[in-house]
Amino acid sequence: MQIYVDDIIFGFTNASLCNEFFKLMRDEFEMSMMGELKFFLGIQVNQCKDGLYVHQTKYTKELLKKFKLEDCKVMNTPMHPTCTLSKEDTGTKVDQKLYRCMIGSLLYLTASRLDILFSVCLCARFQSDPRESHLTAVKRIFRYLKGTTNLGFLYRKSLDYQLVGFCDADYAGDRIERKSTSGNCQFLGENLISWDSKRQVTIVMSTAEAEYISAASCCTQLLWMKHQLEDYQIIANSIPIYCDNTAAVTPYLFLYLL
Amino acid sequence: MEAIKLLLSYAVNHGIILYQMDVKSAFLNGVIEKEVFFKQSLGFEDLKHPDHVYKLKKSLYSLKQAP
Repeated sequence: MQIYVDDIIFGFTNASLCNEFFKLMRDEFEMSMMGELKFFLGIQVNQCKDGLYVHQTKYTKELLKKFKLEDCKVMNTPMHPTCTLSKEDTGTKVDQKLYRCMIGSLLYLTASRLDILFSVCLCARFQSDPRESHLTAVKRIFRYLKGTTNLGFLYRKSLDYQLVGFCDADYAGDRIERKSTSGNCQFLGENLISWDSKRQVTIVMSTAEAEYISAASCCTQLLWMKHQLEDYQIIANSIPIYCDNTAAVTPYLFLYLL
Repeated sequence: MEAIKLLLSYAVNHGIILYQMDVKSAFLNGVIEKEVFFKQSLGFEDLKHPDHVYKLKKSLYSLKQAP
């Protein structure tokens, strides 16, 4: 069972227990049964035989409508691969309120869409002084969304039920401050649970260092998940974290061999 | 949000069907801890006792005491 303020999700393997629980709750509080989990905090959930599909199609459509971008041309990617946004003094100023509004709405969408997370976070850095070029970048994200409104993620039954973390870093990806960006994601079996893309706070001198910072934040998230899973009686003793940087991994390989 | 995703993933693996429940006007279910009084609203004054005030029995949003 999971409670979010006044919304409750619950499930049992036994149907009679389920009914009993509902009756207990109804007698105590004024509650209404919403039936099978379908719509929760703006996130749609489709439960089917093969698994569970989580998406925000409705929310995405509402967003496109809200910002009057329903008729825009579809783009295949959320951002141009060589796009380098930077602070500008010359470009035309755009409505800051609108810009912030768009970023805020998109941030909520990242709850089910990790593909736009990086682009949204990048655009979010210019909220204090948004210019024409920044707004164009944000609009491109919306154009990408238009073609991919129904994307989400699928949870399936997997035999290998183990926590795994992946981490990576983009060394000095930020043109202005030369800071690196970390990205990491955590899987439970083959189901993706959480993801993160964040500009690092400190400036590092090598890719290995950037990678370590990323691994550290991946680790903290995994520890939290480990604790959470203990509530479900799943005890994870050793959790692998995958990292693709040779410079970062090699010193530890030597230690291992010694 | 991640906590919910963990639950979803757990439910799928154990073949559990999830249900949803909603508390009707969550805040009204909270018992008020302090005594709060308020004036009679404009246009809704009690003609017999125009100087009386109301005492809140249940908590409400937008109270100073509300979270």
